[in-house]
Amino acid sequence: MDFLAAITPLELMLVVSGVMIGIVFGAIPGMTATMAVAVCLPMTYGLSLNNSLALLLGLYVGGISGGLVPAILINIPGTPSSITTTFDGYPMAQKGEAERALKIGIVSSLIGGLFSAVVLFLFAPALADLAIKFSYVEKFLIILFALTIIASLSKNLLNGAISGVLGIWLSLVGTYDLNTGGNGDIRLVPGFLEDILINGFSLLPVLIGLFGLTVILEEAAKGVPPEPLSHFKLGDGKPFRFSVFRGHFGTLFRSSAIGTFIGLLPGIGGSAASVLAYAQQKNLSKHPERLGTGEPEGVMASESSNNGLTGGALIPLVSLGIPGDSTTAVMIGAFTLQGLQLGPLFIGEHLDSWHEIMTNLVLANIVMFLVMFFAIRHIVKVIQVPKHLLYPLIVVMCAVGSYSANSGIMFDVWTFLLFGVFGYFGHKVGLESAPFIIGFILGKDAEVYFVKSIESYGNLAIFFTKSPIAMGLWVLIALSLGYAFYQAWRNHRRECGA
Amino acid sequence: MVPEFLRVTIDFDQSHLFFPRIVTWILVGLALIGVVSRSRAFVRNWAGMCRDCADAARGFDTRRFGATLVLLVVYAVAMDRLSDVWPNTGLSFLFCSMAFMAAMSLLYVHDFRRKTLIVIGLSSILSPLVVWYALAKLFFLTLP
Amino acid sequence: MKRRLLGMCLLVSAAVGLAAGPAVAADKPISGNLRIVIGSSATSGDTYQNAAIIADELSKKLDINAKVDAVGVSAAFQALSRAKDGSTVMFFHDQSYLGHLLGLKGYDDLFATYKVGPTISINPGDAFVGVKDSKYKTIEDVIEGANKGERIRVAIQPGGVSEVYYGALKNAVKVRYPGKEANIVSVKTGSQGDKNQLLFDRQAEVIHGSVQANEQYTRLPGDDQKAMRFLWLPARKATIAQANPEGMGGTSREELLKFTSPNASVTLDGKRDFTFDKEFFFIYNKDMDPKIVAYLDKALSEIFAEGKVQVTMKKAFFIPNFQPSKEAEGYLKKKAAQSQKLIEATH
Repeated sequence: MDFLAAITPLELMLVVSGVMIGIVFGAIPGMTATMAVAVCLPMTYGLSLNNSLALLLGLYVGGISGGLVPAILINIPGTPSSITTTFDGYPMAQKGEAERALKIGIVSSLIGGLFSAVVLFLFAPALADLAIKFSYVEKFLIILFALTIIASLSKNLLNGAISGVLGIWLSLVGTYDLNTGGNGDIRLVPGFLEDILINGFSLLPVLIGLFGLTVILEEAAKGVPPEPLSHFKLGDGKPFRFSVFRGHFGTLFRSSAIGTFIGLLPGIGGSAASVLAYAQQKNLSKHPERLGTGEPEGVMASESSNNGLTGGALIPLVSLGIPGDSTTAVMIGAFTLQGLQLGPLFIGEHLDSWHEIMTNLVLANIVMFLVMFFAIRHIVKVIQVPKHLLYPLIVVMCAVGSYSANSGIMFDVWTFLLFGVFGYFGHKVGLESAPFIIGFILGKDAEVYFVKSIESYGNLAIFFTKSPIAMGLWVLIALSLGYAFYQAWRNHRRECGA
Repeated sequence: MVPEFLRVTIDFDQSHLFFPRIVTWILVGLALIGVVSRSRAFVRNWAGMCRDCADAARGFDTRRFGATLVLLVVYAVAMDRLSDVWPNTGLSFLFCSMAFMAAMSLLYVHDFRRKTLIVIGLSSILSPLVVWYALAKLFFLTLP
Repeated sequence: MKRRLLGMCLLVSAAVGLAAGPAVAADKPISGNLRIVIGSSATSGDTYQNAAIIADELSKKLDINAKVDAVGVSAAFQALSRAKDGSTVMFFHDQSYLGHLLGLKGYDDLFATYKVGPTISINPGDAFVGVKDSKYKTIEDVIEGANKGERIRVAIQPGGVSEVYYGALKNAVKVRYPGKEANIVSVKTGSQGDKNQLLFDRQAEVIHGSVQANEQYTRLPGDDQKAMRFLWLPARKATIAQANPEGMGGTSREELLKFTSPNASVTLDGKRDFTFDKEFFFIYNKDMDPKIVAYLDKALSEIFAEGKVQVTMKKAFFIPNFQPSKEAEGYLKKKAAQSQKLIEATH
């Protein structure tokens, strides 16, 4: 703890404000930790390196954590990585356990964050050497593995599969991005829409349209019944006790580790972390059928993994100079402007800055925990706000979030509206939002790694023979699919038998 | 060493079509499975489904649903157009959001007591102001 | 409840007061908010950093709010086309005309459709990098290797500056050993991480990396799988010579100069070497008032005359290179013509 003794009051203040700003950004649908860091980047020009680190890491941790608030309270993931938090968090809130769900989420976030910080501190260089064993082929297989999870998250296997593939298909609309090595040509777009759809649909507007606006449209169709979101009074449900974690240390450890691992692989988006962790939870749980109905372990898996991401994503940043996710990518900019260079020699040459990163990361997690744990009592009141006041505000927040998602593009607002309507009619014909959005998130990466693998090696056998890691991943993919089919078959038999 | 049928080369100029084609075929395939596997159940339950539809239509609030869609479109169009009047200030967002929130709240509210209306008025003026102030003035975000 | 209402009212009046902002001065062609859209959608890249540095200076100088928005190429051009009043300007690099020369979607002819503003700075850090224990120790080894019939894979990002460097290398082989240029092949890839990975996997002999991102790798011991070496810096010698003497990381300016022309030579036509500075500059709406152009030119020349911005840029390994709009346009047109020849020669 003599780490913490070295903190100056200014640093502490910057961490605290960073965390608070981050939480707000994370909690606004459509705004993310990445945006919080980008927006505050210019403020760091005037600060010393240590102070900038304090602010930026505070923003990062706060931004990742803030997403759980709207996910649990109003069923809208504040950031893509809290999609899986809605699965059990929102049902808990509807049972009157909003405060309990939030607290479980926050404690899990803290554990995930601290776990990843320890891993970062102890194993950064060694894990970076592991990360570079993952080339295009292995990364494609990880994404394929994450996609097979669609099967176990689907309510109906066929509907889920169609939704997931449709998500992938829609993510490919627009140009094959030059920045990822594509040829910059446009596809899946009719000629007269090329000017509008040149960049396709962006993730955040699609996400909040599908989760935020769809619900409002469904309520509008029902005439917006005047009762508030939760039928229960606050405090009616089970109160939070730390004992809820008893028996779930495995869950927390596994999910944090999955989060950290996904974080350390450059080029695999952070949202895959919570999806993988949640699906593993479902596969290994004693009561898989209860997940999705408001089980605390679902919230634990989701939240510990997405905070586990933070330390993981910093691993390639400090030991390869390559960001592990989009937020750490922006941080590289902060380092460059301070004249500091990241790479394989960073830790050895800049031991002070390295310790500073560690100290601030740990501190940011603790501050995040304290700020959120005690602010919750006030935050939960959101669900008592009458719908005729809450819904217009949600739309306005989502609209501004969409507009800002790519630094101010009006088409993103239209995307938000379009996918809200799409979700409304989609649900009527069996579209499943979770598989759809997972497909949408992973679709582009799947394309790049698949096509680049073939371009590099020129044959399909490489996906099986590239390395022991690749073969191991195929085993996981087979197990995941086998399990999902087994579940579907069992459910089918139960239904037929009944 | 690698069998011939596993060899694939991708022409870079056409590489943007390679993966989308595969996904399109999978999608078509799955859709066909869906149609075939459900067509029988669909025909059998046709009568039942019609009844379901009719039930759903009875509870369907055409006015609120339709007006919501119209409001959303008007909101987006107005915000875009007015942003040319006050470029880069976010004022278009501010005023449009105030009007939009008031309109949507009035559309959704069920009891028109004086107190409720005052709260709606305050909320639709204050919330956009706070959002606009925080984002445009504190964080210098570009707003429409 | 009452107290809360009072608080709200105070907040509102404060907000309104601030919103009104400073009164608009009549003699200033721009005031209030200036939006600077950039042609990159990343807030992490060199375009954003250079834009942010200059936006910061402009804000102070002109007492405005200059805000950088990373909207990406097509959205940036669209936003620019809408803003005839100068409320939005664009900031980007050579990609803005190369995209059109390469026939990419979303690019119009820069010089015909828009107005070229002043150049600001150069990122001299682009570098061709190879594996440390490879037999290609210099760019000359690479060219000779191609002559001997060895297939050399160069990892580049398609459709931009990267493609011009690649074209220059291929052209140099063609000039010296006609017919052998087919031995230089490109591997199209994306991010810095992906390029490094191709080297680690030995799926490319050469990558287009950068001094900033790869310098530490060049200092790793040769037996490390990750160890790399610089082969060629396409920037002009005179440009690198302006960097701080410390260079970057553990590699001094002197050492970096060994990788520029003429020490590392990639010939253009057998007589002159190919060199290329990746330049950042402003782009304006075609119909923007010439008064604003002059106003910004004047502000920027004052900023550069003060000399502070140069220090900030050099600290981040960027080379200041201010030229007012008129000169910038001629200079960039010449550069575009050279690039066009290369693209035609190698496509």
